[in-house]
Amino acid sequence: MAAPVLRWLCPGRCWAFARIGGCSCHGRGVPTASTSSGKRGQSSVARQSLITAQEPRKGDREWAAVVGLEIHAQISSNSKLFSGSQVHFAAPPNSLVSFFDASLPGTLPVLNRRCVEAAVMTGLALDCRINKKSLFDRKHYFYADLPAGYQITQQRLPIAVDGSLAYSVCVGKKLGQAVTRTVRVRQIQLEQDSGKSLHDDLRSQTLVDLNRAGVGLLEVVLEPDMSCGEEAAAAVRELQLILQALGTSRAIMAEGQLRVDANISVHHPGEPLGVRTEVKNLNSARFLARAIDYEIQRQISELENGGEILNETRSFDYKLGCTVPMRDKEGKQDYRFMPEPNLPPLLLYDSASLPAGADPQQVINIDRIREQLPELPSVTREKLVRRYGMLPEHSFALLNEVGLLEFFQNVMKETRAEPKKVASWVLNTFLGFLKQQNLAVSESPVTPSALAELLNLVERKAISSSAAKQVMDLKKGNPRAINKLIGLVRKATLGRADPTAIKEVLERQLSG
Amino acid sequence: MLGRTLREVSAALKQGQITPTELCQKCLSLIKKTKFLNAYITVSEEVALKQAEESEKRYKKGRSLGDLDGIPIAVKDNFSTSGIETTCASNMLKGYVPPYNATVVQKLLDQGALLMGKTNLDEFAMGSGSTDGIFGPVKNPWSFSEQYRKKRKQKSHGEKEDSDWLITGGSSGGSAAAVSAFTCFTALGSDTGGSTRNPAAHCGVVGLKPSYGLVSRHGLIPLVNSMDVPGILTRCVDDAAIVLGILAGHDPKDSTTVQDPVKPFVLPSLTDVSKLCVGIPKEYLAPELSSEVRSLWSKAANLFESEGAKVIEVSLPHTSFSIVCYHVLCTSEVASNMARFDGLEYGHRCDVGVSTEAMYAATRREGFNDVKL
Repeated sequence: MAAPVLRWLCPGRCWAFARIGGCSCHGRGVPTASTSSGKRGQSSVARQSLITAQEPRKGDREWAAVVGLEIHAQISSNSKLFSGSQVHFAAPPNSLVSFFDASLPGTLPVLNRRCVEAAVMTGLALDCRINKKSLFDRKHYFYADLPAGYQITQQRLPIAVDGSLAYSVCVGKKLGQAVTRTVRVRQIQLEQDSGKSLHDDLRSQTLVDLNRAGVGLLEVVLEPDMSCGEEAAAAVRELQLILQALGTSRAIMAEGQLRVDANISVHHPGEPLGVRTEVKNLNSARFLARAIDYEIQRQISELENGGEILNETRSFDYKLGCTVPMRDKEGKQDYRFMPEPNLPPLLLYDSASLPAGADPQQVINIDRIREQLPELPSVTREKLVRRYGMLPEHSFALLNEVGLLEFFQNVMKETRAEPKKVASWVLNTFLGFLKQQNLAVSESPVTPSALAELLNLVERKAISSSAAKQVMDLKKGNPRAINKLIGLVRKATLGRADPTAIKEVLERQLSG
Repeated sequence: MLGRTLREVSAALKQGQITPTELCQKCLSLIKKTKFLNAYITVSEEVALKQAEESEKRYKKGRSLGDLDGIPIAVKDNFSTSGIETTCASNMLKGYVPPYNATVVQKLLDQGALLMGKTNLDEFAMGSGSTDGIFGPVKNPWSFSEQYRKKRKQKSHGEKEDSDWLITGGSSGGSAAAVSAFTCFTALGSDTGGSTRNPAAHCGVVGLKPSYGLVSRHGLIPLVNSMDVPGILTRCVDDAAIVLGILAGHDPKDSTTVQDPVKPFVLPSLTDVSKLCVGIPKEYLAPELSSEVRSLWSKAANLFESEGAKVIEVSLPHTSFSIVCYHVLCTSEVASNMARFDGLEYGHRCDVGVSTEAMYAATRREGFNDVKL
C-alpha cells in the first residue's frame, strides 16, 4: 500500500495525504474534507498515480499536526503527598481523609519522602536534569473537589527538567517496520491530586469524595514533538511501562492512575504553529489515539471551511467519538500562583554535596537513587535481542503484556528449544490462547514447565509442532486437562514413537 | 495569689498552700466578675475543673508535670482546641468544633495547665484593636482602673459610663485583657504584624513574639503563613521565658520550624549591663511618632546608658519599605488562606442551593466581615 511507504519517506508528515484517506493512523468515523478519498484496497501503483495526478486545488495544501502531552501519574505510595492518610483504590467514600486533606483550618502540609524519591527516579529514567533545589507553589481555583481552594504544585521550579522519552511506532502493517522516535520531556513536577465529584443530575446535587484529594501526582510534560494520535499513544505506552518498571506508579488508566491531557494544533508546514486546543482527561488507552486524531481532523476541517480555532479546553465524548468544548473552562483562568509558604525549598543532594554527618532519614542522595534504579524496559528489550537474537518487535510484544516476559524466561529455563521458536510460540500460540479465553498471564492454566515440556517434545521431534498446537487448541474445551495431557504424551513417547500414534493417543484421551 | 509569678504559684501549689481546684475557682469567679471586659468568647469551666482535679491528684502524689501544672491559662480563639468551639471571632466558624489540638495548646496541656477558655480577637486576627470580631470589642481593664475613672470624671460630664472605655489593641486583645485582669497567668496570642505586642503594650503586660520558626504553627488558624507566630502574654518577663521554654522546638507537623534542638534556658538576672550594647534604629524616629512615646523611649535609652550600657545609633535601611511589602504579602496570603472557607467541609454554610458558585458566594458573603486594614 502506498500510504505506509509514503509515511516512511516523510516522517512526521502523516497528514500529507490525510484528506486522501487510507492512512492507517486514522480511526473510524473521522470526517475528511476531500471527496475522492476512502477508496481502500487500491493497488499501490494506482494509488501513487492518484496522488501525483491530482491537481492541487486552491488552499489544498498539506497539513502538519503538533501534539504535546501533560500526563498525570498517581505515585505508588502508602500515604498521600502531604499527609499521612492512606492511598487505596476504591475505598468507601471519604474514608481516607485526614484533617489536612479536608482542609481543616490550621493544618499544614508535610512532604512525603517516598513521593520525592519517586519523582527523582522517574526524572533519572527519563534522562532529566534533577533540580537540587525545587519549590512548591499554590495554584488557586474554586471547585468542590479542591477543599483548600488551591492545589499545591511546582510551577516556578519543578523537581526535574529537560529529559527525553524514546518510543517506537509501527510504520507498516507488518510488525517488523518499527521506527524509534523521541519526544522531549519539558519537566516533571510533584503536585496534589484533587478529590472526585459525582454529579447527581436527578437530585441536582454533586457528591464529593475526598479519598483522592492530596494523593501524590507526577505531572510529566511532553513537548509538542509528536504529530499524530498513534505517536502520542506510543509515547504514553512507553511511559507507562517505564513507570511500572520503576515501581513509581502502577499507571493503570482504567483505575485513574494515569491521565492524559493533549495540546493539539495544526499548521501548514513552513508556517507558524496554529492555535492550540487542550483535550482534557483522556483516561483510556484505547481512545487516546482516536481522540487526538479526531481533534486534528476537526481542526483541519474547521480551517479549510474558513473557520477559526479557539484556544479552548475540550473533552472527548467516548460515546459520540468526538471532542466537545468543556463549559466550565470557558475563558482564561487566573490561577494566582503564589509560593507555598508552609513548605521550605526542597533540597536534594548528591554524593559530592551531601553534608557531613547528615541524618540519612532527612536527606535524599540522587546518586544513591541512580545506582539503585531498576532496569528500564528499553534495556530489557535490548538484552533480549542480544541474548536470544530475538526480533526487536518480539521484545516489544513480550514486555507489552503483564507477566509475559517472566513466563517466557521460565519456559527458556526448562527447554532446549531455540529462543526464536519459544518466543514465537509464547507470542502467537500461547498468547493467542489466553486472549481467546480472556485470561491474564497470571491466570494461565498452562504453566511454563508444561509449555517447556511440550516444546521439548517438538524439539525432539517426538511430536509434530502441529500436534502440539492441537493440544493447545483442544484446551478450549477442557482447560485443566492440559498438564495431564502432556504427561500422557510424554509417557507415550519415551521411545521415539510415531507422531500419528501420539495423535491417536491424544485424540483418544481428549474425546473421553 | 492571682498576682504572683508562675514560679511563685507553682511553688505554692507544690507546698500545698493552695490547690489547683481552688486556683481554678478563683480565676473562674474573676472571669465572671469581669465579663464586661468581653475578653472571653468561650469559658471552658467544666474542662478546667476536670483538669484541676487531675492536677490535684498529681500534686498529692508529689508527681507534678512541671512549672505549669495546675496553672490557669487562656488561649486566643484562633488556635484549634479539640472539642472546644473555635470561632476566630467570625460567623464563618461559629459552631466549628475542631477535632484536634494545636501543637502549642497540646504542649501546655501536657504540662498540666488548666484551660480557662478561648479569648476574643479581631476577626481572623485581622486588626489592631480587637474591635472587629462578631462578639464585639474587648475592653481594656485599665479603663476601669481608679486612675482612669478619676481622669475621665474630671474631663467629661454626663457621658454614659459604659461607652467610656479604652481599646485593648489587637488582634490578641482578649488574651492581653485576660492576663491583665488576673483571670489567668499566661495566655496564648498570635503575632503577624504586632498582634501580640500591640495589645500587650495597651494592657500593660509582657508580650513576646518568638522568632519565626521557633514555635510550631500547627493548629494556629493562619492569616499570613510566612509571618504568623504564636505569641506569649504574661505579667512578667520571667514567666514569658518559662512559657517559651515549653513551647519552642521543632514540630514534624510544621515544616517551617527550625530543626535544631532547643536547649532549655533560664534568663540571666541582669544586674550588670556594662557589657550590653543597645542599638536604636534611626529610621524608627519617624516624624509620625507621638511625643509621649518618643519621650518614654528616650527615658529607657537614658536608663540603660546611666547604668553603664552602650547605647548607639544603628540603621535598618529598608524600614520605609516594610509596610508596603507587608501589605502586598499580607493581602495575597490572606486571600489564599481564606479560599478554603466555602461551607462544604466545615463551618457556616448558607441555604442557597442553586449552584456551587452561588452557594460559595452566599456562604462567604454571610460568613465574612468587611476587611479593615
